[in-house]
Amino acid sequence: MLSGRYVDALKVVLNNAPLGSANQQIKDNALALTIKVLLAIKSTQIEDAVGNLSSDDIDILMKYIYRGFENPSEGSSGHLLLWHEKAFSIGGSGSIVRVLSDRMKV
Amino acid sequence: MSATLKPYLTAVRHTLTAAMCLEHFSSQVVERYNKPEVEVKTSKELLLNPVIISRNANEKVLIESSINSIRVSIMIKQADEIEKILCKKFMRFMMMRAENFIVLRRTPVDGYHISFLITNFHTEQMYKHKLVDFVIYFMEEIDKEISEMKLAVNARARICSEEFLKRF
Repeated sequence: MLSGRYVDALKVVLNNAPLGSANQQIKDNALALTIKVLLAIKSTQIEDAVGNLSSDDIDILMKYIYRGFENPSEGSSGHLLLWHEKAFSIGGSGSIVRVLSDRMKV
Repeated sequence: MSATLKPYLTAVRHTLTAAMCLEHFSSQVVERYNKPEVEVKTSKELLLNPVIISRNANEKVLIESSINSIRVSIMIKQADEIEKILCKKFMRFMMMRAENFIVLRRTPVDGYHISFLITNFHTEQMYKHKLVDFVIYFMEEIDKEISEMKLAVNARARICSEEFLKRF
């Protein structure tokens, strides 16, 4: 990730998302890491990044976006809103409904 | 700052349309009763995950949904003391007349300034997309109205103090 290949880092971090893990610490660490990746990817690259994801990954991405909204920091919400828009254009209302109804919280 | 307004409102709009899928559901606990499940929270399987959408640290929307009701709570941006007072009074004014608003809740949820409670009965009688439009419109107009009121208060205060100090 330090080499700047954030788009690949995003795929890795979404594939290894600790869904359904009982350990809150692991979840918090994964969340912090994912938010870092999301904020590091520039606005112009978001569309490519989202285009390469599978539909399961889009759902997990939406979950992380909503978790990210819960702890707003400087400028994070604005960037997350862009992510939300792009993910919604590919995932549709279904991805949001899956965030709302899935018991496996990220 | 207002560059985030439009994406913020579209995100809230999409989430509301997704969450506002309500159906008639009688209480499982008391027979012949129908309670908004998001308020009573008696059964876990009837509730959806609550979701927050924030524009920055001072402005956010909490959306809690369930099988027959959805609760939308809004935290409004308050930049200084006078906006805090204006916001509080304005919200109180509206919440006292909550019956006429139909979808407004009489008290806000903890940590937020105003809350809406929309039940399946409301969605049966009113268009869902119009309800969503109303909530979004409300969010847009609140900020404008509070700024207008602040300007009016400052203008009035200036005129009063001018008149008063002319005597000296």
